[in-house]
Amino acid sequence: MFEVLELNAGYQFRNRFVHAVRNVSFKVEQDDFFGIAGESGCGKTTLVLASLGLLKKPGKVMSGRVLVEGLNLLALSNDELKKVRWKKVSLVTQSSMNSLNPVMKVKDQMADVLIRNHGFSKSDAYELVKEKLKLVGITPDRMESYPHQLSGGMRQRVVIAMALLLSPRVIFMDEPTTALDVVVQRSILQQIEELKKKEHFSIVFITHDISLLFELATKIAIMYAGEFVEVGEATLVYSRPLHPYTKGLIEALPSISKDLEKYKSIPGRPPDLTLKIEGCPFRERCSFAFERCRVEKPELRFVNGRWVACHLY
Amino acid sequence: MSSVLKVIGLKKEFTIRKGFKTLTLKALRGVDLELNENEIVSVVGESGCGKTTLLRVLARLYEPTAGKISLFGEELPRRLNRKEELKFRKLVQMVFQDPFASLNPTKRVSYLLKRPLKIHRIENEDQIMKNVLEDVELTPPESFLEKFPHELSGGQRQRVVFARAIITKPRIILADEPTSMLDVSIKSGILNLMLKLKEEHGISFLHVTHDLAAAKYISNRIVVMYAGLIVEEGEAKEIVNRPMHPYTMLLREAAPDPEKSSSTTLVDVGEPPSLIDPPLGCPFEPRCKYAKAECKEPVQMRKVDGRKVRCVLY
Amino acid sequence: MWKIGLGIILFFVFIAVFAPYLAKYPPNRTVSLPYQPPSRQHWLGTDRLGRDIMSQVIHGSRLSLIIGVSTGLLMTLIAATMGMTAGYFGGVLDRILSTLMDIFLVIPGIPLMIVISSYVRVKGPLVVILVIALTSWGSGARVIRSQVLSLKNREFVMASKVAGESDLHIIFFEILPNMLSLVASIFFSSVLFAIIGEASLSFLGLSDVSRITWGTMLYWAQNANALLNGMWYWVFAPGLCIVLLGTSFALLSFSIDEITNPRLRMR
Repeated sequence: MFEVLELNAGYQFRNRFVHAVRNVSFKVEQDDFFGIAGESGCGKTTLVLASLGLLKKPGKVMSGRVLVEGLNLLALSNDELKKVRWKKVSLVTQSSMNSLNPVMKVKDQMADVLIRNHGFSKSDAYELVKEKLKLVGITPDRMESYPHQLSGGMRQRVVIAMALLLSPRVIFMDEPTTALDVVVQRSILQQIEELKKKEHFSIVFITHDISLLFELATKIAIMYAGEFVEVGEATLVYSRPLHPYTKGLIEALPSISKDLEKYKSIPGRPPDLTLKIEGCPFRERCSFAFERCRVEKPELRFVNGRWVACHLY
Repeated sequence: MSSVLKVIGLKKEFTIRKGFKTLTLKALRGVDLELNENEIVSVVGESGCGKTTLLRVLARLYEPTAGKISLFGEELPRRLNRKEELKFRKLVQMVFQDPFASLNPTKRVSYLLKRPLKIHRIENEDQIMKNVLEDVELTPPESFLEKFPHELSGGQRQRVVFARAIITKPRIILADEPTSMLDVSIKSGILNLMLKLKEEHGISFLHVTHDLAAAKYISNRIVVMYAGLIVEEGEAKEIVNRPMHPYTMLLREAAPDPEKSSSTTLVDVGEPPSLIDPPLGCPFEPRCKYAKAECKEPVQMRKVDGRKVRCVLY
Repeated sequence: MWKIGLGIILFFVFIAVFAPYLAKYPPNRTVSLPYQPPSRQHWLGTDRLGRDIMSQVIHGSRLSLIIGVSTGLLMTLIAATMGMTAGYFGGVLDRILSTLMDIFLVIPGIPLMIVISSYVRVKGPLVVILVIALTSWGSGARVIRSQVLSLKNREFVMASKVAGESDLHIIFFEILPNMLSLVASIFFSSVLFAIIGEASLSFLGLSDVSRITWGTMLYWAQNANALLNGMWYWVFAPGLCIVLLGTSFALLSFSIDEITNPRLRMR
């Protein structure tokens, strides 16, 4: 349904290029909850923006294709892109709830998109808006509110409703609940799961909160230094992680249900993405690294039911 | 275990102006808390519960509206002269959430570490700075002294913040969400650092966090706050594995847990009450599925099984 | 951008410092017939007393620069002191100082300067400096106050307090270094304002018109109806200098952030 093929993207500054997304490919199928996990600077946000054709200067897509029902998004013109966006694929970001127009009522903002870009009539637009807001649990009386009158959780629900307006097949969510308290976050995530079952869309969920993804996602991809290092079914990756980075992350996460004596952090820092990386990008922090890791870059191989990029396998 | 810090009936109110009206925000509504030697107590709660205000009042950044604070058994007066204040600041230090914002971006690490030494007239600066950098595992220390904050990673910055906090050999560190802005792979490093400082330097921590799992990992005890009050207090693992107060149960349910096989449904779309005119009774009553009529009256803390709970169910 | 500004300023400073060597004639001496048009000897002709206009322009740079910069410095000093005190200490002190700032902001600057200058018996560069500085520090103070208010609640300031730093230390060594670009920007804008202010006051005859500044030259040019009499160069030369110098400070004011912020410097 949504496929990214060998995407390379980054940011072009005066004398250097930050290669943030390095040859990433993935496929999103019907009813998938695809999680992309990674820490700050791994390139996940760039990946999302590039996949949706939203990367602005100094961001640049170097190569690759993004296929949505056969069409290559990256080859479309701006006008054609506008038609595809929101209809086939939409996006919810962390800052969305703060990017709502403060001087427009919530329902007006939502209807505006429909009327102006998609040729809806006023009455049809407001009908649809009401329907979608109900789906996310916002009652008709709250539709008349201005953004500042709503709590953070409610504003994020509005943004999710906006993403659902034209019933897209795939919704990207980039850290949608990170700025919210844990209880609100949980209720919104529950809502998202219910909606997914009802409306049958797939989700691509990007976050640094890996425990959340292990809990919710069906498929998960661990991203490091611009690349996917492990991709597979979430429960499998969690119970039997193969890549040393995945192992390290799991060992670093204080668990709420287990009673482990000690958690370990991963020493070192991610590599500089302006440089070409020789060999495996994780080798400097990897306790299992050996000679081959320094010279040859590991490619993604299918091992034990998932894809791993590591010379140990 | 001797008491290092004791708080009785602490209240803090802020006056805010909305248009022409002056309103009172009751951020802390009567908090009793005790911190002992060699202990880490985590204060857990969501935004607006008062946990950050509690730390700031204890750090003497805000003046309390009411209540008593005792340090090593001696009650602290409201006003301290310069000498007494310096003595306090030597013993009680604070670590903040944003490692970048807590370091002056125009100063080098050496300056940041020297200042507390100069203020408290501690000699042998160079050696102490090096020791302290080694204590927080920033080695070799020499390579870090001349750096600016923006030249360090998030984890390294937070270690510098801790280095600065321990340089006066304090007995208490007030830590305000020290790991919430750090990456997953770095978080446990800082949590482990706090454990190490407790063991090796005998420092007690009052650790504010919204991350229940982190609290469970490093704390001896956990205190749960809601709407300006403490609603439950007890031994860390006990509180997380067997929560008693309905709000604690909610927090436990809501926390991300990879071990969960199925998503249990949280039936809760409520919000904490406004602290401008908070209800007289139990603050959680509007959202509580066990609520009874008596919950509308003020509820006191009860002692049950070594735990303290503010709930009529016990 | 700031390189152009700096270049122009250095150019004028050079001229001011070496004025006696660069000017052909002493600016105050009658060296020829009055109202001479531009010639090989007098590039810009002569004024009503037969003094060389070109030499006047060159020498005029001295006082214009000195008055402009001194006033700018004084204005910035007052604004910073008032703004930082009000912003940091808050409470009653803030209310008093803010009211003071507002008063000076509301009263229109140039008319106030005109009124004060007309009353003051003594005339001279010092008076001009004081009059401009004491009436126009308001907006700078307000801006500094706002910045201090926002910096005050930043975590590194709280961290300093918790470390036991004294208020004075926090103001000067923690908050001020983070405001350098703002203060520098205010300084440059103040100099710009002062240059224009001095020119305006002199043009209206409210400064000591026996001294030579670009402003006083404009006064005398106006007095002699220079434009009507075809002596446009008499107005154009000092006018252009005023504009150039003013613009150069404006350019510096715009580009100051890059210079003082160590983070941006690294890039």
